[in-house]
Amino acid sequence: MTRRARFSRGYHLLTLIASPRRLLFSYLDPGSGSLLVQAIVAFILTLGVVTRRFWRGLFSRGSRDDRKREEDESSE
Amino acid sequence: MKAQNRHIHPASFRDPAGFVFTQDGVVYRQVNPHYAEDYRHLMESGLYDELAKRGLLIQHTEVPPDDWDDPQAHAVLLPEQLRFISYPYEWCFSQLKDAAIVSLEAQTTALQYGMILKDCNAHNVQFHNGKPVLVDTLSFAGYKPGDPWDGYRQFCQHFLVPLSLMSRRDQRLQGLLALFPDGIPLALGSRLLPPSTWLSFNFLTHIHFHAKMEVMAGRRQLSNRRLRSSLSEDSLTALSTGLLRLVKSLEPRSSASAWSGYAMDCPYSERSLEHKAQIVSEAVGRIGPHMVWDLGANEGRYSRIATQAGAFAVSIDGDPEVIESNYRQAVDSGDANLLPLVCDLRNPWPSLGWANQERASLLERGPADMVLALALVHHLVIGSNIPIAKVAHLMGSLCTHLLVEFVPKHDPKIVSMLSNREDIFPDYHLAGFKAAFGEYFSFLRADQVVDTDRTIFLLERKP
Repeated sequence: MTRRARFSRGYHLLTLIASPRRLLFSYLDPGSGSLLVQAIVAFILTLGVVTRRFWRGLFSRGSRDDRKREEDESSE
Repeated sequence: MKAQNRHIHPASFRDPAGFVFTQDGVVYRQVNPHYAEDYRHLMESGLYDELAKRGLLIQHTEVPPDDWDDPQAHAVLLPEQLRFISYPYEWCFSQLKDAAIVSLEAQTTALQYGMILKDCNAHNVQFHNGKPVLVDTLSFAGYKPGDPWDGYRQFCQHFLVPLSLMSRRDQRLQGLLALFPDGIPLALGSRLLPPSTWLSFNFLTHIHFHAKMEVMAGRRQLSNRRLRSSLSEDSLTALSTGLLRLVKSLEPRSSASAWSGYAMDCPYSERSLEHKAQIVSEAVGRIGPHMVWDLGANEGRYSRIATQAGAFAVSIDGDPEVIESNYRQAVDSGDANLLPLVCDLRNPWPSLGWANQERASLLERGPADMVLALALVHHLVIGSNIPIAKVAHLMGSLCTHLLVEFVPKHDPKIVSMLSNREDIFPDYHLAGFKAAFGEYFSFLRADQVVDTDRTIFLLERKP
């Protein structure tokens, strides 16, 4: 995954920006307070997912670099 | 199928997507044109097949259009028929927990197919073949990227708050669900939970903070229009999986109730227990009932004898802790014909909901082909001062066949029950028992349990 793709993926996950958009209500009133809480909890959980992916990506890239360096050294 | 011959279920009126009706004793679900697009998506996207395959949604077949004549219907569904309708306030902790898990797994699966669980009402789940399953096929709506989960508050009120209270306070609090038709209010749940729950991120956000935000939003009269923010699908999935992890981590609070371990304390020898089981087995084999109610079932030892004989058994006890143990045993053994339920027979669940018609009382869901009332009558008469004539009258309204145990006054259990109180039960003796039950039943057989003076009678309801 390129850096740009990773950034856009992260941005997508973090998209919790209130914006004017098509409104479609269900037969159930979800409750204004619940919508707020849902957005906040989802933001925190998504942040956790993004952070995990970031660290995982960092370590996997690091280990890939290490492996590549080891391979280069052994071929020399 | 004539529209005028159908009986619309009295609880099926909130969602304009369709309704449930019965005709000639068979339950159907009508899909209204309002839901046509979502129904097509559900069936054609592969979501229905996936949910049905995983046992998350009740399976149905479509009734051919030529067989129904309602011009208002988009489709008529014939779902698999349920043996017995039960309600969340009758479930023990693990039953409610399993129902919550089914709802959340349906929600995360729906998101993968471009749909969302538009409501999350615990009454949309029923126990079928021993497992919880969503029965409201019309609960799935098309998901538009950015939509929030409208069923989130309902999930918290119907599942998370009662489960948290049963986990952190007391298992008996499941009964609160009978008082609140749309789930336990968040503010009440927040007040009842112990202070330590404020230190947990999950309880803090989904219950305490949620309750505060509800109050704040109400005071400021915030409009949902301004709050329907853009939530990505990944965010919704993260929310649902987070809730799933939380629910799976909850365990019931145990508190050695009066009836847990009762079976171990009872004055039966191994030989008399085996003989009693044999009497039950022979009686069930002789009558061959389809539906058995085991009243005062404790952990369901005799209910299992009925299910092994091919009957469907509703195993009823007033103590949520013994029903918890009963349900776990049923799940472990894969007993698909056993439904343990919490109900205090001295105060059976009444009719509830709008016009007292949405949820049937326990007694309205009878009669059973056979009732087991083993080691029960003396608890009602001597433990709860209910005259034996009234006990016999109730049993007469519940079943066509009754297997009932009479425990004489000199039995160690009754001696213990009367040790600290006045004996005001002059009519409690074998002749009184026979006179009371003889009013409604014919006596088919009597067996004295070996090593005891207890007698088990097999009775048949008089015409």
